[in-house]
Amino acid sequence: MTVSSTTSDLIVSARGINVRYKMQGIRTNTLKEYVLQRLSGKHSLTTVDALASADLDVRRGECVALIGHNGCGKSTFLKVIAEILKPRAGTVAVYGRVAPLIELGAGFDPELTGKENVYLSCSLMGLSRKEIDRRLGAIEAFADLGAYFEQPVKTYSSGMYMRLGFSCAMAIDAELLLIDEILAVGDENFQRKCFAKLNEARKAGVSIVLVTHDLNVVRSIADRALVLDHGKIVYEGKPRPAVQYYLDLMEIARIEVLKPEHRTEAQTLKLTRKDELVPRVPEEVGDARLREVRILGPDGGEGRAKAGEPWSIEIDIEVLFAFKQPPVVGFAVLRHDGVRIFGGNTGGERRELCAVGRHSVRFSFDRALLAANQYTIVGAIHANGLGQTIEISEFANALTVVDGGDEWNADNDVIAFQERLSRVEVRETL
Amino acid sequence: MAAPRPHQIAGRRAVEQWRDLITLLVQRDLRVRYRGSFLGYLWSMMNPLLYMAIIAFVFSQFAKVKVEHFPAFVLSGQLAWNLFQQGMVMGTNSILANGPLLRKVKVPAALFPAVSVTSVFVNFLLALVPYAIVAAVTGVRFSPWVLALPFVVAPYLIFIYGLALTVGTINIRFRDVGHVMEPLLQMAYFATPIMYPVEMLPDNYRHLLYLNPVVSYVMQIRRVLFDGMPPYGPQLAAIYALAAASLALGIVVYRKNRDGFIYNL
Repeated sequence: MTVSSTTSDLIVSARGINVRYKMQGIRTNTLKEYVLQRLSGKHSLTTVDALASADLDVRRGECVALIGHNGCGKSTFLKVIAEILKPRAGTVAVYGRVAPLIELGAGFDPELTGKENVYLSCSLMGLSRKEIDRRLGAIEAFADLGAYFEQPVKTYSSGMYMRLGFSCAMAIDAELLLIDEILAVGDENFQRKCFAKLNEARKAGVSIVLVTHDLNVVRSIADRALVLDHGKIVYEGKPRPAVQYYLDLMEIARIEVLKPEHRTEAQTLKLTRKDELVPRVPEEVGDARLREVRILGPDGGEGRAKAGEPWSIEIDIEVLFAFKQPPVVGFAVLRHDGVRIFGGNTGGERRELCAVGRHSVRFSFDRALLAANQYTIVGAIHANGLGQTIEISEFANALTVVDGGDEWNADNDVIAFQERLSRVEVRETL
Repeated sequence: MAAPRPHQIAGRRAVEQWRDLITLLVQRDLRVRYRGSFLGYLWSMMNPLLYMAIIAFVFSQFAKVKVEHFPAFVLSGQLAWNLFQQGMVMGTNSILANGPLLRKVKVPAALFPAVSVTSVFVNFLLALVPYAIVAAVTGVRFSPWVLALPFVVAPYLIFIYGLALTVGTINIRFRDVGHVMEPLLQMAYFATPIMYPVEMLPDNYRHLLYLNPVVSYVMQIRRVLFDGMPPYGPQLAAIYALAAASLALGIVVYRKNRDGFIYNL
């Protein structure tokens, strides 16, 4: 068994971001107002920090969700990452092609048709006309707008708008997608299509930063979530506890607006426990995801092994949060009917698996003992010894074993009988 | 390894990309302007003709301006002026008008005044067609010096761009600029020898006239286009110097303010 690790490379690294807005009404639109306020000394006194010393790292292939109350700075953060908004303080580094903010009311020209807008939009994202020509068919097909594709965008519904925007953004082969609360608008079928497309993109290593109020989406597709509260990151961690933290925050906010005499006892109690809400701490227990399970046969062919010859299972994982105790990476070989034949794991002592990043674990076998048949290989990650299961691969990998000695395995043997049989003797007995 | 940013890829690809982007934005400007109109692009040619007809009629009947081939004379000045006026009006608004795009895509705001100037230039080229017809009909002598036109129009475009970038930038912070533009342009129009030859003015007024930088451009364009004479050396030098100064001003003002655009759009 070997473990090889690579330091996962970042696509976004933002440090100490601060964005300050002047309050509407204090901001001056005309020269007269400006001069008057300068003179009266009222100028730019009221400001609000939309983001205060916010950090964010996004790794390749990772999906990070930003959640929080309205006006907490989520969308501002996206704009900073997109390098549309230059922060007052802090640095942003983005190492790859970024799709534009995919948001409602995408920057289309309402007078132009859908098709004309595709050219304009993709061209703004850095594609040449020829490149757009090549992608036009795919964009039109994915947006699925029918005759509306040739109609001015001002005649579109908000859902159609979003479909076109999403299709364009996916077509430029970005390495980072910034998505601001769009998936809510499409109809059921288009939402499914979007999620399928997003998953496909993630498998190809595309990173996503997502702003949404749909907590189910956060739980189901995010690897990590950040909770923002009035411009500060107050929680960073796994999606489920992050969502819970956010819900607690919201509940406290609801209770706080009630007059004390209208609060129930439970609510008052909750308020006193406000400070006990988990502060922003790194996760005690790390977190990891299975990325790929591969089966390598003797000739390097994938998914095949040959009875009696060497083969191996490779499991790629990505550690999202560092572990204190090494996680356990394991596999199991199942018969086609789900009966477990055997399994194995790394044990709890492989410290190199603690570090954040991608790791590849290889289990090598000198010779395959399985009889010719179809098998299923499942990968898994556990923590605390084997006490806690983090993930079991949903993608079941098929293993085909061929056996020269018993090609058809008509008896449905499990073990390659020929392999173990050293001698067959026939004796006469009385 | 980091992939190259779309706007940073060096060489031919980048040139191709920027060319395609500007072309598309110019096409959008023109399409949006003429969408829903029956004559469409013909309006770019009709407009100056109508102006010319009114001015030629009024001035030859009432003001008794004595200039040979007066309609072509007026039209040549009007075309040169239109370039400036339309460029400034569109350019001043261009950054503000593209706010929705700037809030969404990382694209330099300085691009939009350039697009405005380009689409106004396309208008200018279209309007040269009716000019040629009017000149031929009224019997203006054809001169090969008309081929020098690009050398006087090019610095003019740069001059307009620099000024539009400056004003467009300030307009984001103080919207007053957009409002003051119209009366200012109207004043500048009358302070430019379009409907009258500069020789008609007394000497001391004439010097005052040259304080208006547009005058030199209009006169040089008219000189090669209408008079069929080579550009006048000192004034040619002046218009190149003005173009450089305007561009420098635009770049300085733009760079100083661009980071604040998004907060004020």
